[in-house]
Amino acid sequence: MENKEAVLAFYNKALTVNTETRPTEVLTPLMAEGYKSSSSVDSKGAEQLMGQLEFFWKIIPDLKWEPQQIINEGDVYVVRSIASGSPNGDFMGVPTDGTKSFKILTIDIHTMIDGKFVNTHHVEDWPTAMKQLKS
Amino acid sequence: MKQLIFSILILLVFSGIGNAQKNKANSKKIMKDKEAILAFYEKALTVNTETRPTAALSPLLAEGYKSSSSVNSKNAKQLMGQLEFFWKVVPDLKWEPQEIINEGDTYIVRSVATGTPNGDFMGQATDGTKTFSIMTIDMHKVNDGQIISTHHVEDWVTAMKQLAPKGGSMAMQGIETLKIADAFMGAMGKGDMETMMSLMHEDMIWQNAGDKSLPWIGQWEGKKVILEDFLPVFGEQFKTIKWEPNDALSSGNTAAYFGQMIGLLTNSNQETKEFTYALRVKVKDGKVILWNWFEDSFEVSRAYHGK
Repeated sequence: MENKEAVLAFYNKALTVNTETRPTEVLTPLMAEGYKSSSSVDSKGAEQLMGQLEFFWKIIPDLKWEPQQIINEGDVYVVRSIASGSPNGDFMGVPTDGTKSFKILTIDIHTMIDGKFVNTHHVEDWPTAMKQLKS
Repeated sequence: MKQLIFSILILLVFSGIGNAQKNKANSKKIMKDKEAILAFYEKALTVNTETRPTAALSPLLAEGYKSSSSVNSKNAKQLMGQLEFFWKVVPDLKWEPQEIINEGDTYIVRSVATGTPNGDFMGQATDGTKTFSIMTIDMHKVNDGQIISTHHVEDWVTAMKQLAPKGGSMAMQGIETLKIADAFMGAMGKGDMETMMSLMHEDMIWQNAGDKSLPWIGQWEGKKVILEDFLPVFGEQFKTIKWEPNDALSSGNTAAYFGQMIGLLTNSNQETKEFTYALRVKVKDGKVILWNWFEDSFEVSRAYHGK
């Protein structure tokens, strides 16, 4: 798979709930060995990331992660997205019942080689999501 | 034929020069844009002694500049205002680019932002003892050395966790604050100097708003000054006749009290009418660091001057 195709599959098929596939199924062939997804303090391996996404799919049945802009320099792809969804259950410590939605900005930086993800740096505006879900 | 070849050669040479000039102009433009981006982080987002956010950003932001997060967008003036506030409340703020990615006129900067806030920071009470270190990613659109627009995301959730007091939530911390403030107030009511002294922070500030011609009105800085200069004068000249606390609230390191009181001014031997007081107390390291007193200062002044 081409790098850009792989990047799009990540958002359209693994981060966005759909009926055709599952996060683990989509991501397994896309993750390079030793893949690492880093935020400020934590880093996740491929398996942990897939586990988190499977949980997201369960608790946010309408989760969408829509790329707004994709920037590319060499092996690096930057994706600015709008993530939205209506969680139902305990979501990051906030009790939710599916009646409230969040809609936030996220930016990810992926390093790709031969159509596979080598690593990702990601930031999401979760404080805004929490405010929207509590309001 | 020779002439034709010659013409083609000349053409090739000239177009080569043209391209070289174009490339040179292009790399010059990239340099200029990159410089603007770096200045944004080094001079405006990182506290330094050479400039200020407003001075650093004014030449860097294009007319109509917009900085967008999930729901809000700020113009240049609002962004500068926010950064001026950040500089004040986070005096060691640093925003260090880790990676810069460029395609066309778009620059993406992944940074580590760190700082040790002191004051109310995004609703979290901080006292300069805890530091945050978080990832941020910004996407800037740049033209001719000026930033046209920015999309930005910061991991503030992690910062808030890093800054949260060890003793638990703001509410839990507030309960502890109220206990300390209550103990200090109780000791003062009983004239228990020993307990009072044990609850005073070395850098405590005692602040009384009101008529400056009264010798205890003003700001008294430091435990020693309060004990030696303020309390003896105040204790001698103001006697509390009635003291009735009505409400006590607290959150984090701050407590607030409201109540009714009557005082006697020994200077004039006159009592005040009953008035409402308010008190703002701040606690640091288990001791009182601020005692900020509000009263009906007009009534107290009137009684002091025997009017």
